[in-house]
Amino acid sequence: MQRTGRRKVNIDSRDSRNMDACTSSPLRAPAEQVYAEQLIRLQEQDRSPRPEGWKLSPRAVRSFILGDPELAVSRKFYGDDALIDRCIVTLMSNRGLLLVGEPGTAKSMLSELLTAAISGYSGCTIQGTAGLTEDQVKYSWNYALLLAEGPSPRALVPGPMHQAMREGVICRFEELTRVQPEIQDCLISLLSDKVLTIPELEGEQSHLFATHGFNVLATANLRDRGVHEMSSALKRRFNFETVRSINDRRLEAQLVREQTRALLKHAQVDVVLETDIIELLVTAFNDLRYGTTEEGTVIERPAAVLSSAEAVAVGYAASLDAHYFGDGVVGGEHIARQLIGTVLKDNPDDGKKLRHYFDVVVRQRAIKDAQWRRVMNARSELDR
Amino acid sequence: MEPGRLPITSKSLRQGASALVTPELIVFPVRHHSPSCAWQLHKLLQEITPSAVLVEGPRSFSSLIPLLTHAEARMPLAVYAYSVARPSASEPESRRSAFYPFCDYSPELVALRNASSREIPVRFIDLEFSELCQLEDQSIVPGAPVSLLDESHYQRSQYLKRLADQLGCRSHEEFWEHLFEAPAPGQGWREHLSAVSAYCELARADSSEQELREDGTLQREAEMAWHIRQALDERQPSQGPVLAVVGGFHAVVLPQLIASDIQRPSLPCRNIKDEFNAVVRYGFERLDQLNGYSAGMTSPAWHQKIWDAMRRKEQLKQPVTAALRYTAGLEVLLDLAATLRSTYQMAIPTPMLIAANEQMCGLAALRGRVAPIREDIVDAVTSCFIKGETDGDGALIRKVLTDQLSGQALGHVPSAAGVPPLVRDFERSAQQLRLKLGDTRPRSLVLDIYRRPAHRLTSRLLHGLALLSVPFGVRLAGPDFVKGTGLDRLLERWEYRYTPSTQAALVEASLYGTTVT
Ligand SMILES: Nc1ncnc2c1ncn2[C@@H]1O[C@H](COP(=O)(O)OP(=O)(O)OP(=O)(O)O)[C@@H](O)[C@H]1O
Ligand SMILES: [Mg+2]
Repeated sequence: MQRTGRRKVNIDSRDSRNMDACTSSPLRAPAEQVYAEQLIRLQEQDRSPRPEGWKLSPRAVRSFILGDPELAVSRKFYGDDALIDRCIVTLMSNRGLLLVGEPGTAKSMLSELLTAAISGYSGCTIQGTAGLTEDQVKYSWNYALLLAEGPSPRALVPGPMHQAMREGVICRFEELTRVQPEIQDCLISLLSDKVLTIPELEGEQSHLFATHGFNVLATANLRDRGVHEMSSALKRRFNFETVRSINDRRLEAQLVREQTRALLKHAQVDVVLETDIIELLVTAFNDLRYGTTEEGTVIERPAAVLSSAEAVAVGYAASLDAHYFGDGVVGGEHIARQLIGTVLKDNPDDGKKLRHYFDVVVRQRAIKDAQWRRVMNARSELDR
Repeated sequence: MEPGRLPITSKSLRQGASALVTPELIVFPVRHHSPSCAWQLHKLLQEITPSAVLVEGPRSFSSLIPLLTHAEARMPLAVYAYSVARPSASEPESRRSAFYPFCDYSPELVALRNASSREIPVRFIDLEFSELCQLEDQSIVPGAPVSLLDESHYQRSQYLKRLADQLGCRSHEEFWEHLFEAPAPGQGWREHLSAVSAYCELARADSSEQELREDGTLQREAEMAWHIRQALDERQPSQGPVLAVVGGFHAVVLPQLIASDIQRPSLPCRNIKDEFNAVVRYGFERLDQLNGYSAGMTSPAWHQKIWDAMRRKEQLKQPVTAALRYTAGLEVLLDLAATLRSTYQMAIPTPMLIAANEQMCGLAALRGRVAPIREDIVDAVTSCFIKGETDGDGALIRKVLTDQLSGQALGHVPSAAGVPPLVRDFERSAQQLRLKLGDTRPRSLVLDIYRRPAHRLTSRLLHGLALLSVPFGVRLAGPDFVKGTGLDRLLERWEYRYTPSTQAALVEASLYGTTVT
């Protein structure tokens, strides 16, 4: 298994995550590699007691996620610091942690960061889908060996849960609610008894007792199409934590700025992305996300997802647009074009709502502000 | 704040604290409504017999001390002060008012009660409310009552803000509870006093001389210093020290000020037409800063619980340690579970409670605290009680918890206060008409004004109060005989709420007459 600290990576150029939304980025490395140096520094300076099976103390885990300027550890999650405390304390307890919330609120990112810091390994991961089966969660068999020798530890192919329990690491379970309820429920006994039964094997081998450090960190969307309600027995084994979208414009602007710049650096694209453009972008996102503009005008909210993740993606794509097709300086029109593309996904009503936003809100701002005027000038893209 | 402006070193902080305690004078720095300050003051008073006890607050409040410390008085109470200025060339007649709230764990009340019971001379030493209104103080605006215990100096301090950020505290309130409330039960008063004084020096270093002159702070401090010097002059050498209980922000400069030859400010109140102070009953709900009032702390019921626990331990002669905060935290969780089960029919299995308790302790440890504070309880509930999204299913649970931590307690003014006739008339009529005055919860009424005589009387009372601008009832629907609208309606619908402002406004309206209807 991969462990922290084996590899040196250049933090400067890889200090930010690539996002699923940005398809132009190359393959992404797991968090424990991307932030290997930060993790080593934290480990070296760590004086607080560590729970058994943890690579870092709870306080060092906190610093890893919320940043520690003295150790040159970057802040990775913006907004709700208390949420991070609650997540860490839950992972120390004998209950699992379930992160819920709107799409794009960094649930998966947090899950990866927490496991990378606590277990030094974020790769014990189950991707929840409607077709997921129990053997993909627990274990399956090498059928050739099984037929030849009968059930034996050699013939057993460990699944992520088996691996996590044996190694004493945290098992990530992405999109838990997309999985059929019967399969979800196989977690109940794992979480309460911390033992995996393998009825095919005999004697001692028929029980795998979890090593210290094992826990389950799941993410879920409770309201999306095609999700299943969890059984109340399973609910009781988890502490639920809601990850909210950032509702502080200043913080969101900081997030968008830092993540976009890091992405651009990584892609070796050199553009000028001024602070006022980022503020314009974040303002537009906030207007549309919450349905009330800075001036207090009430507008209709589009159905499209407009999380911080989309804001970063729009900032990045607009920069690429300015780099390859413009003069290398990002302006209102670049943001406008990407914003339109993000909002107009599959809901025809969203076009109407966005047109209304342009005509009522953007038009007014365009009178006073040159960048908003450039946004307004890109309105024609809406009618294509 | 530019770096280098703070002339502060750990040495100067220590010196500051030692200047507060001398054989002649103890200036005890407090934060208003802080159980830890109240507790440490209580312990100090067990050790010394002051020659006089001086408390921050308008001078004329001194005549109300017998009422505030009366055996029948039940907290929370407040002194309600109002002042009416004559019209001038630039301004029309203006009326300003303020509350000065007290609860059992107000350090000021601890001082008043202790001094009264031991027959030690005790008085208030700050500028009068009318004088405060004369100062260019922008915070005392005409209209709704303000608070005399404003603590925005701390909230404004960038220095404290940075320290709070460093400790991972989200608000000034959390920062204070972390630093001072959590360790208080196990601390000695000297240790506590130096910590509070350091804290206040930092806040002080962040305010400019000009700001302090403009908001009246310097004039108030000069007045207080003058009174303290009077008391020092009166003190016999054989007596204990003069004890001054003042907000920490002022305390840290007072010793120096007293040693200098400062002049008592003269603020002639020529244009004051009317002024008045009265003890009125107050409510925890209003004391809670979360409800938008600038004085006070968050969650009075939580602090009351800690205060009561410290007092109880002391009475039982058991050691008072931070452990009692763990017990108090668990009690909050148990009470919450009981309310959710009985009032909202929610299933709260015992393992959930155990988990929440464990979470509370774990959070306090992770956050480097001696014992849990309010935020740890709220976070533990968020983690363990809510099985869904915080804003959906969770909203109700969080609301019940906030209300529980805030509390509903209402004070009781001793009958000796000689309630103004108008207040008495209102209370009598309301009782006859079966209006509920026992708490501050809103209630609705449907009045059949044509067919039920009692309803007609209730309607008349509510309209009378509205005419006097006494905040009590709000008419939601019904015929409006003034505007001539809705005349075909037979019923009036009202919502009413008995709040501290109701009584305060009645006290003030007393000058118009003695009955509401
Ligand atoms: N508060 C935040 N702090 C830091 N980054 C954030 C924040 N919110 C969103 N992001 C950015 O958004 C990206 C998308 O997050 P992620 O894919 O983890 O979301 P998710 O909640 O798992 O979404 P989904 O429900 O669609 O799976 C993150 O990688 C991060 O770059
Ligand atoms: Mg995800």
